[in-house]
Amino acid sequence: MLFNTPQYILFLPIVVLVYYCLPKKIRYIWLLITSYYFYMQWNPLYVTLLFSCTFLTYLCGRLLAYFSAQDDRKAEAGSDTKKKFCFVVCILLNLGILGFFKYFQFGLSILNRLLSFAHIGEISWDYDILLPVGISFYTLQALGYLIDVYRGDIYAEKNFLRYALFVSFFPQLVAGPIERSQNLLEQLHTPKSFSYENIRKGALLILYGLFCKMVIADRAAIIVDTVYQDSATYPGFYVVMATILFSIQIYCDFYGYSTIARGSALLMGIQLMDNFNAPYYARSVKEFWRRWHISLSGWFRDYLYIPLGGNRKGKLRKRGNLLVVFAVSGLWHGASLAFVCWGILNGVYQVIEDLAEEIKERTRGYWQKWQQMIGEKGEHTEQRFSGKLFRMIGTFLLVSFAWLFFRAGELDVAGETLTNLFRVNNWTIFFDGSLYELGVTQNGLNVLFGAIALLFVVDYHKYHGKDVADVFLRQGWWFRVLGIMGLLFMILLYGCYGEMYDIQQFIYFQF
Amino acid sequence: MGRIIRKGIEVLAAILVFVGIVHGLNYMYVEMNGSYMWHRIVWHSYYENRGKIDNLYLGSSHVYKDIDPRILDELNGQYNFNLATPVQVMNGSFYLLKEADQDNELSHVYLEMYYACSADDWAINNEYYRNWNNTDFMEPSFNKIEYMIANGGLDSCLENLFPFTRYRTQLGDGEYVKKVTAYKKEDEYHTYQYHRDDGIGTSKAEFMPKGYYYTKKEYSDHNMIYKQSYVLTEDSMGDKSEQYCRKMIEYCQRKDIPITLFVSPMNDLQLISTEGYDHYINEVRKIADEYEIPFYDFNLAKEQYLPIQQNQYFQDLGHLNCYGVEVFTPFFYEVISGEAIENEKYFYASYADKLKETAPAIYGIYYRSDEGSKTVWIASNRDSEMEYRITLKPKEGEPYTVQDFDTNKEFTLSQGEEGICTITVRMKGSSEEIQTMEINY
Repeated sequence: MLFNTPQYILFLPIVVLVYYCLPKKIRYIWLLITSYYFYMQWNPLYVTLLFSCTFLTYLCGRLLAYFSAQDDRKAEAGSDTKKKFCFVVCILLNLGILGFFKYFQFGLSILNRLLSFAHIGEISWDYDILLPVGISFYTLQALGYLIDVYRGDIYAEKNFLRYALFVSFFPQLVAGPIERSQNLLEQLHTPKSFSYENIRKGALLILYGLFCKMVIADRAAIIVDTVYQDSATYPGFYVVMATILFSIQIYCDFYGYSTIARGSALLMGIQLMDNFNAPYYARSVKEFWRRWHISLSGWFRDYLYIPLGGNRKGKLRKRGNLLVVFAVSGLWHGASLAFVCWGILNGVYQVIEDLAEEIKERTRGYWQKWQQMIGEKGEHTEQRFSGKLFRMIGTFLLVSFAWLFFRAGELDVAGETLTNLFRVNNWTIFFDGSLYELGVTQNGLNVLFGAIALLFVVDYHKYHGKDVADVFLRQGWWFRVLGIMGLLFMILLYGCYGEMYDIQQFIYFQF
Repeated sequence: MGRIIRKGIEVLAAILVFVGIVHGLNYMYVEMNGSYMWHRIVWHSYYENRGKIDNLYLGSSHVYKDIDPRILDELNGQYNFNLATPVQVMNGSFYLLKEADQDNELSHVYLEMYYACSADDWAINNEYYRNWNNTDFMEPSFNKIEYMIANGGLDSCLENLFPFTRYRTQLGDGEYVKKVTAYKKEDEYHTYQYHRDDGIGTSKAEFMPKGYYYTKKEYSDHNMIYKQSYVLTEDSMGDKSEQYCRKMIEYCQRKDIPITLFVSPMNDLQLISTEGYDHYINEVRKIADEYEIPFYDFNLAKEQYLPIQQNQYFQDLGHLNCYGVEVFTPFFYEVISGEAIENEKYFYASYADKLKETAPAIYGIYYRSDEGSKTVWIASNRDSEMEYRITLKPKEGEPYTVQDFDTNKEFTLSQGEEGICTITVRMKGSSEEIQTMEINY
């Protein structure tokens, strides 16, 4: 059941209505039932994995709590060793399940390449392993909980059903945000009363999320797919255009999903974290990653980067850690070398930025003297509008270039696309109407660019720390009606749905 | 309390704005083409006649172009109504039947079984607009909601609820909006009239009361070429179509409303080109026998009882004109008002029997696809007992003979080529030419 289908639009109000009709004490049971129902719409068998992950981490959490209590009472020597053992086993088991379903075939293909390189017979495997939807997300969320319990940051949840809901809460089950137990579990303990404000803000977020997904992402996808499926026919600036549009597509696709998830949860008074904060306004790749898929970046920071030593063990180690974290992040996104390359490339960008920053610091004195010599006064270059714009555009282009690997999905496809990118200089396509032959009409393309402009206006305010939804809802009646009708009719008129389009799955579902 | 009222008014006003915009967009974008117009007028006429209808005729254009309810009114003294729409698919007929049953005391239901509406489920599964054209004009009811959900499921609910969304490709096309709105300002639109130029100059095709399409247009002997997409096999009826056909029969039997299945007469060229028309008839007959209800295929009618297999009675290869209707409707009444056993005398047992019993003849030519060079077949009522001479006279170029009296029925027309095809036929072993036909291709 995708968020952008009528099934979900029908499912959600029923869930919310019943939720508020039930006594607060048992609401979480209703949400658990509906979450499992929601998940079973993909494949009922997947539920066994979701349940296994939930049960394992719950049990381990309880055991860790038990050992910690023993430790506190000093009743038993060696409880710390047991705790560690239990923790490691549970982590390995969960990662093992994730690894098997997500990386087994990828690992086998790498192994077979090595074996063939060494002239040893390959291992054959004739079975297709289906990747359960959302496994990467709920596994990380459950492991995050476990690590928090192990570290003693939170108490282990006693109520199994409530914990099961924490892992499977339907708005964020299949593509995040990867919620922290401190945030979500706490809210599940204390359900909120019906609030008109939450309902209208939630509905607005859902509407905006659908706009991002159906009007921008799915429309951009038509052009991106046309070019990437046949970059030999569409080389040069077609690839440039498609890659830039893919940057927008993946953002709107994932941001749209996260926004609908936030809106859906808010209808029930539950606040999920905002997974994006105007990432394309970032002025460095480092800043981009603070604003993009915030819950995943935070997870890797807290549970991988910092345990690896973070930036506490020297600059070289810090840069090494960065590369490791981004390579793992790439692998988390997809079992393919192209995703690893994408991750490493983002890591390399940040290492270079770090080095550039260091060089700049060291030569700051010379720069100041130079500025005095040429008589420049006022703001530092970085503070000027032109400087900000330059850095913003530069960051966007660097990130977009990395997305090329992500979109290609396989290294050889990425290589081929890159070759085609530099094959011809056909800049005239932007003026001779060739762009209208990529599956989107002139009118459709105008709508797409208009919608992207609106997205950037909203993001601009978001970048400056404003909660755009709150600001919007504080406006006068006519303005709100105008805005809501605008969004609604943009979706109805320009959304990709129905007979003319296939409903597009959210990109991040595959991870 | 005041705040709640204020909020309530705000929400209500927003809903009104929404409804207003939807109406505006529907007005600007929902096209009134011939088919859509027909639906609009039929539904208007239906609601005008609501409560009076005794006999209901459901089906495709083969109903509203072949049966004149006014003639039937005179013959049976009852109130007859064609609730028939272009390519009415079986699921559509089911909900139309329910709608009519809710509004009227039905005495009899006649369900037309044109093969193109039920031979496969393509239209049901893909051409949702066929049913939208009904739901757009139906008054609000639970039956309508059920119909909307059944048509395309939830996936198509937006197109169901908001007709303008089906015309999204036209957005921004000022000329289109101008054309649509200009038509909607005309008298014909407001007075529910239907006048279409049928190409004969002397009169126009018209919507007549009770859902009858009137035209004097006669089909030309030179146009005996037909594109046939269907090849009917043993199991040619679509699963969904069969399911809905059964639902209709069971519905009527539950409500004690007699139901009769029938097929209107078509030109033999159309039927021969399906190759296995008898398979289809057998399937329908099997269903009718199972439920013990009458089924009449008027394509099997003997010529002495229904002498209409001439182009002067047809407006095209599938539909009768007003002259054909004047002959057919009384015969239709005679059959449906008689006993099934007695009616057997009017019909051949199968279409193959009919062809065998008819004097050797050719009916025209047919092909299956417009793409590339056309493979064309001669439609005749004998398999290998006839020989054909085929001559082609292209518009540009010299005439040439494709074959000179051979039993082969298949030949090829070059892509885009136009001209006159002359077919002369004789019986094998005889030198006497029995028929010559000139066909524009």
